[in-house]
Amino acid sequence: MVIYIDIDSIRFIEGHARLKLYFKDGRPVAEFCITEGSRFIPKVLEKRFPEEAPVITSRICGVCHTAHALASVKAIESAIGIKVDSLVEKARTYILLLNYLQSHLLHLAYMTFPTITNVYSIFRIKDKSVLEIGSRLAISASKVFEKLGGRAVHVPLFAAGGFSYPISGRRLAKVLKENFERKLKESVLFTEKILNLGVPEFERHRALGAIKMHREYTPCEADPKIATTLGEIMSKEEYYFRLKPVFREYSTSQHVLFDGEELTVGALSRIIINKRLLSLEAKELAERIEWKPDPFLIVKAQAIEVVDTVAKLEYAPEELRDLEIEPIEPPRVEEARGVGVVEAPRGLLAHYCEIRNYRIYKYVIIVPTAVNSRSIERDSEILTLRSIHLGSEKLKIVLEDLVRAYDPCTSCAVSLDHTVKT
Amino acid sequence: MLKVAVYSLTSCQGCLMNIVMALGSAVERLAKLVDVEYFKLVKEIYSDEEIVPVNIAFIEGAAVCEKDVKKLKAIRDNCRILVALGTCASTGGVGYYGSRRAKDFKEPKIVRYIEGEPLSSIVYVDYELRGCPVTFSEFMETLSKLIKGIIPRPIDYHVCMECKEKGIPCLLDRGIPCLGPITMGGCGAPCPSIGIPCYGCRGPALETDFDNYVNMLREKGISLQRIIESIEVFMGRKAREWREKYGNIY
Repeated sequence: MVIYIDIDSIRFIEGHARLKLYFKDGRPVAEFCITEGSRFIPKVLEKRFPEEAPVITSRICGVCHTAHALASVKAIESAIGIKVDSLVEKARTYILLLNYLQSHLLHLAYMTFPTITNVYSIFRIKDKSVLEIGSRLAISASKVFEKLGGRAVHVPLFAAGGFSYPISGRRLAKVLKENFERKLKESVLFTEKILNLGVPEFERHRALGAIKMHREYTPCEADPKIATTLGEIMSKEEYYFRLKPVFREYSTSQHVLFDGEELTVGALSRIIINKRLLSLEAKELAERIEWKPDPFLIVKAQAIEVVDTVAKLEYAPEELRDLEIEPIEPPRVEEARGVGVVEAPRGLLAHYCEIRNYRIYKYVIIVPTAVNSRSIERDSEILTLRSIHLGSEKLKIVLEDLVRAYDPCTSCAVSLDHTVKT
Repeated sequence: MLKVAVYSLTSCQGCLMNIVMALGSAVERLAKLVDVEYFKLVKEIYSDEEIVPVNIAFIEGAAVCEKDVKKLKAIRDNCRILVALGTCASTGGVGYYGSRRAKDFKEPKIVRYIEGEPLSSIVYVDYELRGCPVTFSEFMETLSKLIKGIIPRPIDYHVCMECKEKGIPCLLDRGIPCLGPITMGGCGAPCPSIGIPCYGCRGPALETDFDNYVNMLREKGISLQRIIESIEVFMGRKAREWREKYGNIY
C-alpha cells in the first residue's frame, strides 16, 4: 500500500508547520516543514551592544520568552567572564520555572487535551476543568511576571551579572507566595487528568539529551553539563559545537543534527535522565508511568514537570529571603565569545554570542525544535511503517498528534534561519 | 451573533499566548459575545489556510513573505473590520527591521521572502491594537467596542505621560537613553517603573516631535546614535524615516 499524506497546516501548534509523508523506493520519507516566516533575529542582533541581546532574543518567542532571555544572558556572561552567586542563579531559575508553567499549560490544556480526544475547539470540551485549572495556574505565573516586570510576556528582568533592576529576595518570595500558596493540590489534579489520557504507544530507540541535574530537578545550572542516553556527559561548549545545522529546501528553519545524527531533547529526555531528582509529589506521579523513548509520553513528562514546578514555587519563598542584588555594570570587552545553555520548556536551548569591537559580531540560536526536527521525521516514517494498516485518513490524524506531542515551536525554530552560516 | 476570527502571520505568538492563557477562565464569556469561526490555539476546526468570512478579523504578526501577503489579502477580502493585533502587525516590528538587514542568504524553495511590512502597508486596517504583547483585557475591551459598532480611539499620548502620572523619576534626566517621549502609551510604563528605559515596544506615538526629542537628547548628553539604534527594533517604518533624516548609521 502506498500512502501520500500532506498535512499542509498542522493545527494547535505554536506557529506554522506542515508534514508531508510519501514513499520513495518502497520506504516512507517524512518532511517536517516549518512554514513560519523568519524575522531574522540574528541579523537584528548584529552590531548591537551585548546588553541589548536579552530584550531582543526574548522576542524570538512569546511562549518561551524567558528561556531565551536567560540563555542570552548566560552566553554574554560566559563571553565576558562573569560568574553569578548561587542565590542569584536560584532566583533566576524560579523565574524560568514561571515560564515553564506558561508554556507547558498552554500546550497541555489548550493544544493537547482537546485534540487527543479529536476535539478541535476549546468551546466543545466536555470536561472544562482541565482548561480552567490550567488557565488559573498559567495566570498565577503571569501575575508574578506582571508584579516583577509589568507584563506577562517578554519581561525584561535579566541582565549580565544578575538582573536588570534591584531585586529583593523578600519581595520575590512574597509575590511567589501570594500566587502559589496552596496551588499544589490543583496542579496534581490537573496532572492526573493528563496522565489518564489515552495516548498512542510508539517506542523507538534513539539518543536523548538533557542537562544533567545535580541536587534537584532544575532547568538551569551555573555550569551545566549535558548528558545523553548514549552515556556521554559534556560541557555546554562541547554540546554547542557538536551541533550542525542542515539546510532543508522544504523548511524555513534549518534542522540541527548532533554529530551528524539525530538527538531528541525536551521534557521526556529530562525526565528519563533526571527523574530521581523530582520533588516528592512529582516523583510519586512519575512512578505511575513506564518511561521509554516514546514521543507521545512527552505530554505526560510535561504534566509531571507542572507538579514539580508548582511544588518548587510553593516552597521557594524561604530559600530566597536572603537575596539582595543590584544590577552591575558589566565590563566592556572588545573581543570574546561564549555559549549559554538552559533547558527551555521544549528542551536544550543554546545561545552563542561572539563579540568584536565591543559589539555583537555573530549570534546563533539553536532551539530544541530545530534539534527535534529529525526525530519528528524519523518517528513519522517508522510510525507509518508500523501503522500502515490504518489507511491514510486515520494515519493522518495520528501523525498530526505525533507532531503536536513534541510541542514544536516554529517561531523559535526560524531564529536559526538561513542567514546564519556556520 | 457577529462572527470573529483570530489569525497569525509571522510573529512570536506572544500576543496570542497572552490572550489565550487568560481565556481558559473566560471561555463562556467569549462564547456569549461572539461566534468564533477560527481562533489560533483555541478553535482550529479548519486549517488556517482556509480563510472563512467573518465580521471581525484580528491578525497578529507582520507580513514577511509572499505567503503572508496572500493570506492577509484573503483575510481582508473576507472580513468587514480588520484589526492589527500587536506591535508587529501595526508597525512591522522586529520583522520589519530584521528582514531589511538579511541579505545574501540561501532561500529555501518553500518561501519567497519580502521586506517585512506592517499590515497597513498591504491592506486597509480598521484599527491597530498595539502592544508587545497585547493584554487579555485590552483584547476583550477592543472586541466589546467593535461588537457595538464602535471603532476605538487610538491612544494619543506617550509613555512619558504615564511616567509623569505615576511619579516615576525621568530616566532621561539621568542620561539614560529612553524612548518614552516617542512611544505610544497605554502600557502603564512598566519598564521605567522598574528602572529600565522604555525601548519602544508599542511602536511610535501617533504624533511625535522627533526634532525636539533630538534636541533634548543633545542637551542631556545622550548619544543620538544609541537612540537611533534602539528605535529600529520596534518602530518599523517610522524609525526608517527618522534614521534617513538623521543619517544612516550602518
